[in-house]
Amino acid sequence: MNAVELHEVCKTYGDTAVLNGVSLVARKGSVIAIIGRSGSGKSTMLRCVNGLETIQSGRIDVAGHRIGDGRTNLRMLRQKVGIVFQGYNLFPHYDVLNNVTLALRLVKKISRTEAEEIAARVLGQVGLAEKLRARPSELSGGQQQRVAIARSLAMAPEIMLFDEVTSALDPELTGEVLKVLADLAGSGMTMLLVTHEMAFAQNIATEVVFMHGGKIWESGPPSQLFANPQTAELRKFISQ
Amino acid sequence: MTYVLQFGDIERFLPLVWQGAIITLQLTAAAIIGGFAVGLVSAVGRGSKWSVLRVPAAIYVEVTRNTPLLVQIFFAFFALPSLGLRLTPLEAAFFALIWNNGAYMTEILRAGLVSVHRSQLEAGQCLGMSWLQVFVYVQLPTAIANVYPAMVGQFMIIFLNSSVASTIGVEDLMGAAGYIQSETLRAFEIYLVTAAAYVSLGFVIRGIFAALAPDNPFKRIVCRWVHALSAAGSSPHPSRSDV
Ligand SMILES: Nc1ncnc2c1ncn2[C@@H]1O[C@H](COP(=O)(O)OP(=O)(O)OP(=O)(O)O)[C@@H](O)[C@H]1O
Ligand SMILES: [Mg+2]
Repeated sequence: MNAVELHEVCKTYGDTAVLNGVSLVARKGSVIAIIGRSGSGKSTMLRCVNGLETIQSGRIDVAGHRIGDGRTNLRMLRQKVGIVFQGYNLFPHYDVLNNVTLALRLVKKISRTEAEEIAARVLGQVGLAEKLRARPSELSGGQQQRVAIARSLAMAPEIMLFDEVTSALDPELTGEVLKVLADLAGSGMTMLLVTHEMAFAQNIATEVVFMHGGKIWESGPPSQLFANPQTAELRKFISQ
Repeated sequence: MTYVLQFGDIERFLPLVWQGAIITLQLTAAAIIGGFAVGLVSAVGRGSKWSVLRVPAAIYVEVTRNTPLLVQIFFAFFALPSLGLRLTPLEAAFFALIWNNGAYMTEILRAGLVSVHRSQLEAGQCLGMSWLQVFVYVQLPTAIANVYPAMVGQFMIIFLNSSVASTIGVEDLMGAAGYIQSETLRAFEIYLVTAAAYVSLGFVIRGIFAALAPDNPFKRIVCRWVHALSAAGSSPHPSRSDV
């Protein structure tokens, strides 16, 4: 079964075409790593998948919702599709626990007690069970990013999108976040992740997608794609 | 030149000072709460994409901030009756102070609202929150935290400026002082007492807002206790979602 399916998606900002007919299928439980140079449209594609950007043509089916026909219930969709960005975007005036429980209570209408149980579980999952009462400003970048992941996971999404979640971190903090991602991939979560960590992509991805100029230039299983690139653009990208 | 202070003459008028202080506090509380509410609505209007909301809000702010409070209070008391709106001095003072503070709060809250980065709002949206929920639970608390010192500064200004109400006959602290001075001719003593009263009240108001500050660690501890107690009280039954 397909969790995400993009069909000939086109996206423009004014006159600039950013996505030029992107088609992509993510089966349930697959982990798709998206690579490509800066400006190739990776973030834009991810943002289209949870309806943060409108598309000009094509369609996207995600978790049983269709984007592109103008009738999508985005709030329902976003409860099933979590997204985490490079700059964690935690709510600065709430502590860790409230960052995680806020949407559970407001969106899912779950009681405070129940929400706090869920929060304790997902924060344990990312290794931050003892930081419930810290404010975001009192945490390291890696810890903040793990809270952001927990906040998304608390909503029990079917699909998780990650946009360069380790790019803002010092090398020594990258590992702790990659470990959380690897655990999540192991648990069977469907994941689309934009990453610059090639070794990581090679290890956990079921499929790697190389984007170039707003198109999917090349894709395939990581072993094949990295060992035997078919296009000059991908060869050049890998050799950098 | 020496002047011998004689507080004896004004002593029997002290209850009037006390009553005046209460009215000053009422005017201040109304100006703060009402001005905040007005400022919030008008700040949202000012940032709206619809000019039917943006333009009136801008006119309100510009007209108010470019006229003296004294003119506004005279307008409320002496000019509004021509439009058929007859206010008592106290009502006119409430009206003018809320009106005036609302304009300044608009500018402060507006600055706070735009200081919240778009990515914060997006984070809320991505968790499935509605626009109203994102505004109330994400944007507004961060906005207030970011401009809190400016907000409290403006509250202190409106507290001191509430003394203008005495010019239309309100018996606030300043009004009481004027009356006592005309009765006793002890200007130095009564204005010394009045100044001390403003200083003390200002100190208390500042203290209250320091306690309410978003980054006050003591407040976080108290909130945690309250949550713990309410959770303990309702634990046998699943509590309803009270956010
Ligand atoms: N809001 C916007 N308005 C106009 N152009 C935009 C906007 N957002 C992105 N773009 C353009 O779209 C193109 C693709 O951007 P996108 O952020 O998707 O790239 P990316 O592959 O994620 O790059 P990076 O690796 O640097 O994050 C870029 O050329 C960018 O300038
Ligand atoms: Mg990007």
